[in-house]
Amino acid sequence: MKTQILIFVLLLVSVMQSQEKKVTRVGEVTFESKTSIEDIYAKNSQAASIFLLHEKTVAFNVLLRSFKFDKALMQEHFNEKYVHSDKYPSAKFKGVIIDDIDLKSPKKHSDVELDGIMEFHGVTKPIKVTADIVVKSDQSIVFTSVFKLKLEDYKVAVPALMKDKISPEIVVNVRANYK
Amino acid sequence: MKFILTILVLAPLCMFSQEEDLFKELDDLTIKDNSEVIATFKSTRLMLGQSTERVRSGQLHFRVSHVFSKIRGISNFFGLDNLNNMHVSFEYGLTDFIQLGLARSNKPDKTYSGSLKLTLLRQKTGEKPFPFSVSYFGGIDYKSRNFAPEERDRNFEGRLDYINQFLISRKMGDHISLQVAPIWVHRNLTDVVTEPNDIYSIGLGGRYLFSGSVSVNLEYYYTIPTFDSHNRAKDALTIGLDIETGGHVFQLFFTNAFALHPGKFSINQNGDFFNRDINFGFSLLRTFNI
Repeated sequence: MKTQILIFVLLLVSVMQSQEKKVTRVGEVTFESKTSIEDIYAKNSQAASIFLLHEKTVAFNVLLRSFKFDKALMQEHFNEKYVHSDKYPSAKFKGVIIDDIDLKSPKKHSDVELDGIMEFHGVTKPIKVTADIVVKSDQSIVFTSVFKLKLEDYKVAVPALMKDKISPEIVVNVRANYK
Repeated sequence: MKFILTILVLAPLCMFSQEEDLFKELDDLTIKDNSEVIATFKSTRLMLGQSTERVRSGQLHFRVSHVFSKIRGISNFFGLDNLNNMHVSFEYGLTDFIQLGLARSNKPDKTYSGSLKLTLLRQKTGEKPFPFSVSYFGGIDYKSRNFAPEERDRNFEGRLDYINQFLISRKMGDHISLQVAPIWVHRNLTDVVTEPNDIYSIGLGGRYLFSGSVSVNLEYYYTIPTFDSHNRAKDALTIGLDIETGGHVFQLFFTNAFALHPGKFSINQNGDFFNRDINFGFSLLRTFNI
């Protein structure tokens, strides 16, 4: 009897937990650098993300190698010379929603603030981002966010020759659809 | 009973500590991209010879290479007075694994070259590692210059050389990459009757990457002494720099070779490097998206 209760409780806990956690393996992260000389754009459609509803926590893991560029050479230089993806293979983000929002019932929440940390190129820094969070009637959640990253903050060095071609601040777009 | 209570109390705690492991869980969730080793060399040529680097699908590499004449001193402005060889090549990536090339070299035979490079295996790290990259390079050279006597000039087949080469490379960490490249050159007709039609050499070389943009490269084509006229001093030896600036790669080199196509520089007919038969040369590579 005791064992049955125990199993029941444990099952309940795990079921509760699985309802509280939403994941995706195919989140989209893009980034852009715009200068008068050159526009650079790259897209990653394999961002992994976990959304813990109870803790209001969102976490992302993005492999830098999975960013696709229009120019193959640019993609190679990005990995080899700028973000050193052999040494620092991924960029990670974890943030907690500060605003008091209800993630259970269908609604669109605009400009939700998240307080978190970003780990990229061997540097971990606190970061604040705003996001739009749409809770759909089927309980799926769409998370979108746009924020800026300063290359200098993450010790991404741009050679003098390329200074005019690469913006010191890049714009990152994130979109994840959690089932 | 106490035991069960303990578990019940600890179970929610475990849940919390799972949150701490969020990043680890994310790691397992992340789709791993292929872990191919990139940027073993800066360009598709190590120096004069091919490297295992490839022209990617839909990309076009346009390259102009020059070799100046033998460095004597200020009297010939260290060789720069005379442009000895002018080599132009186009290399196109049909897919990521098939590269087609067309080239023209004025010295010594006004040679047109058609080539094919196949990427066979790539060096990989991660879950399914593989220790080296392997490519195949094949080419046909057509010598378009006038020959004497007239009979020789009319002999079309006698103008053709065939090149087969395997390129095997390994990137040993961030700075050092090495390559071994056995090559077989078959000439339908040789200049002198004592020369063999088939010559086998082994290209050995590597690079040391100083910074992200500059590497020093060394390349040596060791010809296997299967014929009497063979002279070890006439093997091609090239030392130089790769300088990369965004979409361009510059290669500057000193070499005892005067030809810039593998059908000629790899067949033991170069100057004597250690007897100061040294030429300065460079190549300029520009990448286009098509």
